[in-house]
Amino acid sequence: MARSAFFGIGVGTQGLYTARTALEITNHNIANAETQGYSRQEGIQKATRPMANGPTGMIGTGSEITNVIQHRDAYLDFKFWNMTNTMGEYDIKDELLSQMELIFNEPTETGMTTFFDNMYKALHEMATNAGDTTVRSNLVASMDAFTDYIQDMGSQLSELQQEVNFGLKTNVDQINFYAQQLTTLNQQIGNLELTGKSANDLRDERNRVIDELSRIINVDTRELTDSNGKKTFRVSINGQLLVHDSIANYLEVRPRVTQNNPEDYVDMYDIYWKSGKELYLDNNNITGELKGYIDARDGNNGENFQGTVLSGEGTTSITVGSPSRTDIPQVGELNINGILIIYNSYTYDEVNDEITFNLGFPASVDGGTASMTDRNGDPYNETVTWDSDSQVRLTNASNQDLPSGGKISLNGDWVTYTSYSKGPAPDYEITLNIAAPAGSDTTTTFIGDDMSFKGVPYYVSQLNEFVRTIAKEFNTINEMGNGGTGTQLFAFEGYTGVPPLDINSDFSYEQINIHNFVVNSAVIDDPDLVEATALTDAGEAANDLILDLIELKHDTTMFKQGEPGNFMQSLIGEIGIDSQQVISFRDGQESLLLLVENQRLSVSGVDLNEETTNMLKYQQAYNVAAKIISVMDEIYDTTINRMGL
Amino acid sequence: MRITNTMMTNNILHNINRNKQTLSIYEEQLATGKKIQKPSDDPIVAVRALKFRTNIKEVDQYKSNSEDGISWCEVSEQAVANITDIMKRIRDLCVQAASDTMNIQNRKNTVTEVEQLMNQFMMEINASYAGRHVFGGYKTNVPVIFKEVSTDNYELTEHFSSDDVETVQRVVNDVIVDAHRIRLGYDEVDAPIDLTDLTSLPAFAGGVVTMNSTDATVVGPPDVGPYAPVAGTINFLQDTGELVFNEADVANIPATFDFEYSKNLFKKGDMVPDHYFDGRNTSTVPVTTFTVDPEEILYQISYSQELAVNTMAYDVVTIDMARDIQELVKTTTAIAADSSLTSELEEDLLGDMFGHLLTGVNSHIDNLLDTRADIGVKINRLELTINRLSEDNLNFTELMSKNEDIDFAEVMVKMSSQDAVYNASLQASSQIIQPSLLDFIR
Repeated sequence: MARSAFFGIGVGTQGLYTARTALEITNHNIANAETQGYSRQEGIQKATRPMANGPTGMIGTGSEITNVIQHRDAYLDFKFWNMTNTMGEYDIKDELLSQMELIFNEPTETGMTTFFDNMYKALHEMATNAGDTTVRSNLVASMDAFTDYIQDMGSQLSELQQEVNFGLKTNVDQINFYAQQLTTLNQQIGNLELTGKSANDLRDERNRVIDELSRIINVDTRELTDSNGKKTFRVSINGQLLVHDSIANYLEVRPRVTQNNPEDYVDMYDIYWKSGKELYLDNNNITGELKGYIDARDGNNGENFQGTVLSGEGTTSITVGSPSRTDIPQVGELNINGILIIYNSYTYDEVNDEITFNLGFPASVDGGTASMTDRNGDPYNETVTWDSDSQVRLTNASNQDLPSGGKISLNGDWVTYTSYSKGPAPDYEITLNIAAPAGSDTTTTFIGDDMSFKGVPYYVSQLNEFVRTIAKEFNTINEMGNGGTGTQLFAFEGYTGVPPLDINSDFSYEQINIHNFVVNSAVIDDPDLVEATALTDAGEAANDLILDLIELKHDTTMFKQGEPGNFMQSLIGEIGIDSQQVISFRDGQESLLLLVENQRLSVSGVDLNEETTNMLKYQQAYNVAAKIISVMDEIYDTTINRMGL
Repeated sequence: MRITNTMMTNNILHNINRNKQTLSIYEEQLATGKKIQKPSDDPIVAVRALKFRTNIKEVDQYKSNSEDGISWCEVSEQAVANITDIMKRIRDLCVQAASDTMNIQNRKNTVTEVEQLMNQFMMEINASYAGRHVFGGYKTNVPVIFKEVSTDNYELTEHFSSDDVETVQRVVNDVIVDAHRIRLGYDEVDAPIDLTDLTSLPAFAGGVVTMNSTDATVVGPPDVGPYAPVAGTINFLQDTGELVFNEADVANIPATFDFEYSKNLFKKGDMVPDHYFDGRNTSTVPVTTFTVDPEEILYQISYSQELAVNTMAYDVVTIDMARDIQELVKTTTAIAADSSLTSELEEDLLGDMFGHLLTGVNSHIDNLLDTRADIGVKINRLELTINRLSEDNLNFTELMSKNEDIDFAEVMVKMSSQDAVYNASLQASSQIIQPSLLDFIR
C-alpha cells in the first residue's frame, strides 16, 4: 500500500511539535523552580499509531505528547500534613511559654522572688528596730511593692490570655479563608478536568492551601470519583467536614457566656460552625496551631471544678458533694452528662463540703423579651412570662419548633431549659422547664474542661493560691496584735472590712486573686497597724509577731511544695521544664518535617540540571526534526523537479 | 534518591541556621556572663539560682542582724563595765567609811563623793543605742532613770514576802531601837491605795492601820516612835518609804502579800518605775500600764535561731542598791553636828550602815560581773555566728557562681570553634549552590 507522498513531512512536523511541547514543559518547570508547592511536570511522549505497510510491516508515524503529568506522592503529602500540624501546635506553645517565662522574669534581680525577699528584708529591719516608724513605713512600702508586682503579673497574664484568644480567632478566620479558596479551586479543577486531563497547577495550588490549613488543624482529605468520572474533593478538619467540592462549612467564634476556669478573662471564644453546632475540639486527636492556642488559653492541668451531684434532679437547686475546688465563678455552666446547665448563684456549705447551685433566674421578674436560639442556632426574641423561677411560659410563641434544650437570656441573665411542653390549641402555650435533667443524681459534674496542659489558667490559679495563702498567714499573725483586734494586712481591692475576711475559712480568702491582691488600705494609711507584738502594754521594742512573720518564710507546711520560696521555685521549674520540653519536641519535629519536606522535594522538586539537560535534549530533537523536514523537502525537490523531465 | 536544588538549599539553610543558633547561645552567654537566660535553658540551674539568691539574701540579713546585735551588746557591755567600776569605787569608799576612825565630817565627804558617783552611774544606766535605751526592755523609749524631775502620777504595786522584813536599828527618843521594816521602792511616797492586802494579813485582822503624816510624826500611843508601832498596827512612813511592824507581829506576816501605793513626784536620778514595778502611769494619755517581765528583744541571727540582745535594767542595778545608797546619803546628811545624844547615837549607827552597804555593793558587783559575763557570752556567740555566716555567704556565692556563671575561657574556646564550624558551613554552601550544569555549557 502506498503511503502519501508527504508522509515524511508529516512525521517531521510531529517531531517538531513534540519537541516544542516538551521544551515548553521544561520552560514551565524552570519558571516554577522556586514556586511554593509546585511539582515537577513531565510530558508523556508516545509514538503515534503506526501504519501497516503491507509486507514491510508497521511504519512508524512519529510521536506526540499524550499527557502532561505531575510528579507528586500523595503519601508524602499525607505525612507532611500530619507533621506540620504538630509543628504548628508546638510553635504556638513555644511562643506562649517563652512569654510566660518573660512574665515570671526569673532568675533575675527584678522578679517576684526579689520582691518577696525585699519584704522579708523589711521585716528583719523591723524586728531589730520595732519602735521606729520609718522602718514600719518601709515594711508597708515593700509589701505594697510586692502586691503591685503580683498585680502586674496578673494583668500581663490576662493580656497573654487575650492575645492567645485573639490568635484563636485569627486561626478561625484563616480556616474560613482557606475553605473559601478550596471551594474555588475545587470548582476550577472540576471544570477543567472534565476533559479527563489533570489540572496540575491548580492541584498544586490546592495542595499548597492544604499545607497551610494543616498547620492550623489536623486535616483529612478525600477525592471521590463518581460513576461519570467526575471527581469531588472533600476536606475535613478534626474529623468534621469543612469543604465538600464547591461548598464549604464556615466557622465563627462566639464569646463564652460563662467562664470555663475562674481564672479566665471574660469573652473567651468558643468555636462554632456557622450552622450552629459547636466545633468539637475536646478530643486527643486535634493538633495544630488551634490546639496550641486552646491549650495555652484553657490549660488548667486538669484542675477544673468537679464534683458529684448528690441531689436535685428535676429541680432548680442541685447539691454537689466533694467539690474539687470552691473558687468558682459566681455564674457558670455545669456540665451534667454532657448537658451544659447555667447556674446563677451558689452557696458553699463548709461543714458538709457541699455546694448548692441555683439554676433559676436570679430575681423573680414577671417577664419580658427573652433572647433564645432556634434549632439552627440563630438567635431570635420571644415574649415570655413566668410564675416561678423554674418555669418560663411563651404565650404566643412565634417559633413552635424549639430545640429540646437551650439557653434563654433575659436582660443579660442566662438560664438553661432542659425540656418543654406544649399546651392545648389554640394557644399552644409553651412551657420551658428550668431544671437539672433526669438522671443527674450521683453523676459527676464539672465546669470547663479537664485540660492536662499547663496554660495561663493553671499559672494564674497557682499564683492565686500563693497570694491567698500569704494573705491568710500574714493576716492571722497580725490579727493577734492589739489585744487580738489587729487589722488585716492583705486584702483585695475594694475591701471595706465588711464582712471581714474570715481567717478560719479558706473560702473567705478566695475573694483574693492576683488581679486584686493589695495591702489593706488602712495599713497603707497608718503603718502603725502593722502589729509588732501580741503582748498587751508591751514597750515599743517588743517584736514577737514580726518574728512570727519571719518564721513563716521557713514554714514548710505552708504549701504542698513546702515553704514560700519552694513554691515559687517549683513554679519556675515547671515553666522551665514545660518550655524545655516543648522546645525539644518542636526541634525534633522540625528535623522530621525537613526530612519529609525533602522527600517531597525529591519527588516533586524541579532540578535545574535535569531541566537544563532536558532543554538541550529537546532543543536537539527539535533541530533534528527541522533537519528531517529540510531533507524531505530536498527529496520532493528531487522527485518533482529533477525526475522524469 | 533524586536530589533537587530546593532540597539542597533547604538543607544548607537548616544547617547554617542551626550553627547560627549555637553561636548565638555562646554569644548570649558571653554577653551576660550567665549560663542561662531563661528557665527553659536549664530548669534545674534556674531553680537552684533562685534558691541561692534567697539563701544569700538571708545569710546577709542574718549577718546584718548579728552585727546590729553586737553593737547593741557592746553598748550594754561598756555601760555595765563602767557601772562596775563605779560600784568598785563606792565599795572602796564604804570600806574606808565603815571604819570607826572616820569622823562625821569625813563620812559626809565620803557621802558627797558617793553622790557624785551616783550621778555618773545614772548616765551609764541610761545608755542608749541609736536612740534606744539598751536596758529598757521593750520600753526602749523610756529611760531607766529619770533625767529630770517628773510629776507623773504613778500607782505602783509591790510584791513582798515575809523574808523581805528586815531588822534595822534606828534612834528613837535617844534610844536605839530595833525596827522591823519593809522598805518600799521609793521614799517620799503618796497615799497607799490598796489597803485590802494589808488588812487581810491574818495578824492584823481587825487591827488599826496607822500611817505617819509626811513629817513622820507618830500616830498611835504618844511614847512610841514611828519605828515602834503598837502590836497589831503597821506604821506607813511616807517620807522614808517604809512599812514598820511590831516585833510581835513579824512571825505572823504571811509568806507573800502585795502593797499598792501612789507617788507623783520623782527627782532627777530616781529609778523609772516602768522598769522595776507593776503599775500604771496615770499621767500619760492613754494611761500606761506596765509589769516587770523578762522582756527579751529577740534578733533572728540564723535559721530559726533567735538571740535576746538586751539586758534588763534590774539585772544591772537593783532597786535595793539604789535605795541603800539613797538611805545612806539621806541619813548622813541629816545628822546635825550638834553633839546631841541623838546625833551621837546616829553617828554610831552610821558605821553599821556603811558596813551594810558594803555587803550590798559586794553582792551587787558580783551580779554585775555575772551580767557582764552574760553579755560577753552573747557577743561571743554573735561573733561566732557572724564568722559562720560569712563563710556561708562565701560558700553560697561560690555555689551560685558555679551554678549560673559561665567559665569565660571555656565559652570563648567553644565559641571560636563554633565560629569555625559556622564559617566552614558558609564556605561549603557557597561551593555547593553556585555551580550548575549551565556553567559548563558553552
